[in-house]
Amino acid sequence: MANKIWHPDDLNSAQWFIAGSKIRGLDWIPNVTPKPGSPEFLNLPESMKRILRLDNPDLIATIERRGVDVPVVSIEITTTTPQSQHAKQRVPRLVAAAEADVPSVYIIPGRKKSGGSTYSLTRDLYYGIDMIRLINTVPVFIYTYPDKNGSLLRDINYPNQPDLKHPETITAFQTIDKIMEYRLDDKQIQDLNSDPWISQEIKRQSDLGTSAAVAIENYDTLTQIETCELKAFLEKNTRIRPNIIRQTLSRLPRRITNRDKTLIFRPRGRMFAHAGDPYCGMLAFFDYAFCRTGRSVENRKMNLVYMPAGKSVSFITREFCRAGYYKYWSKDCPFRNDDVPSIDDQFTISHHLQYGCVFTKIKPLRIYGYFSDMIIFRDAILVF
Amino acid sequence: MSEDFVSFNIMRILQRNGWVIVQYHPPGGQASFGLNVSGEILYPDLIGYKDSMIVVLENKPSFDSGDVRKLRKIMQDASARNQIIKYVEDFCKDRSIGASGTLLLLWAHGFSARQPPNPLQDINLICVQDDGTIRVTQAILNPLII
Repeated sequence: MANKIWHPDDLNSAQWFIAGSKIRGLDWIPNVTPKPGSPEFLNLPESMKRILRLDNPDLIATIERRGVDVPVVSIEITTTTPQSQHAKQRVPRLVAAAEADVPSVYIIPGRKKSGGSTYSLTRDLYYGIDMIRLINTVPVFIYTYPDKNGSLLRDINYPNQPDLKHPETITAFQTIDKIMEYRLDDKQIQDLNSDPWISQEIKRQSDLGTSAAVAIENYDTLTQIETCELKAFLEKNTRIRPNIIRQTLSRLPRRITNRDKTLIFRPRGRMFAHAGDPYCGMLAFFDYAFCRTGRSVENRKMNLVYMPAGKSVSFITREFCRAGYYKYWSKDCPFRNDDVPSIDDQFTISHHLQYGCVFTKIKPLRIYGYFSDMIIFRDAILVF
Repeated sequence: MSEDFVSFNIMRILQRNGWVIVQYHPPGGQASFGLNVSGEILYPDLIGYKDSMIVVLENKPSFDSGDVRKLRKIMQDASARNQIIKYVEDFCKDRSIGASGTLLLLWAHGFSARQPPNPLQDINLICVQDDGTIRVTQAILNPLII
């Protein structure tokens, strides 16, 4: 039986996983996660592709069942300073895994020294993670990266990976192994929730989330309005002509107009630089923390609007178009070719006929487009 | 041959020869240490420490003149050299590894042995073969003991 550990070109991290798991008798084969549009991508099962649709996780473990690689757990490991917005960077990956019925484990520093300061993990992350778990009925866990007074403790044999001998890493692997045991026994993922170890870990994290007192007014990038005030809001905060506003709003889907309230996320930072971090992750976090009621983006109690407020990105023509979809079309879109395709191009064209650019456009475009009901620029409105 | 294969095999051989890996930044991974070189943040692919020596590596699937320029930019910047030494000293202190006195900085570029270039004066060249073993072309006055 070929069990695989998929990694994005970091064999060291795959070997760290293999050394950390205590399940005996399993052979693991490290594999590089294939690039969308490559021949290798065609070998992935749809469940694996669903995990990859927003971003590429650090590690995905799959077990083989009847010749198919079945994803069992997705793992994120970050060494970022864990203050509020940074901690949310990986949330879209956790969401993609949960919405694909795959549990995930997120390892992030509980505290980290940087530039003379020590940054601590804020508890609102636990709340958001718990909402992802509850809405999808799929376990999602946070474990802290081992540290000594804020200095991260990396494994001596697997550089840059959490110390495998540290109790926190050992506990994380107890959870990872428990998840894998359930799948190896062909049990349903929902059965995991009643496992004593898993339910104890869920309760511990859930309690941390509950203690965070997460509220919209605590985030200065968020504005909540009545949906019926959207026209006035647009007239006041954009340069879009009133007739364009009126005509666009008259064409909104009922899903949006039927919701009483609208949450507007107005970050003042970058849009695409540094892969849109941390704003992509914040958008996903706010969706689950405040808007979502179900597994589909249609299931929201409140609209979620992304409105880039930074001077250099607040017009559609400044960055969203230029560095985003236009650049993608001019450089990467395979439908621009009008000659006989190369061998690689054949696969890329086929991929795009099947999936469009769901997997191939840059990460921020994928995430802004997935989590937003609307994107409001100062010169344009995009409706989803 | 991928950059990850090059980096991973050099890292493992350094470890087997008693080097402590202080920074490891494969293409699919994240760096733990960034250098400020005249306002630009650079992330070395690999930093190792052994017996008062620090080796700084940049790796690619094939010989890359851009990596050589990056290494020279770091090695010619006194502030960057001091940042590396400080980071290694702190790393070793946290782990109770003795790293005091004068630390010698070595520079190396790793890549596939399929296209071996001419040796360089100032940078060790580490060629990784298909089976993961390596060959080292030592730079003058810049020995790399593996």
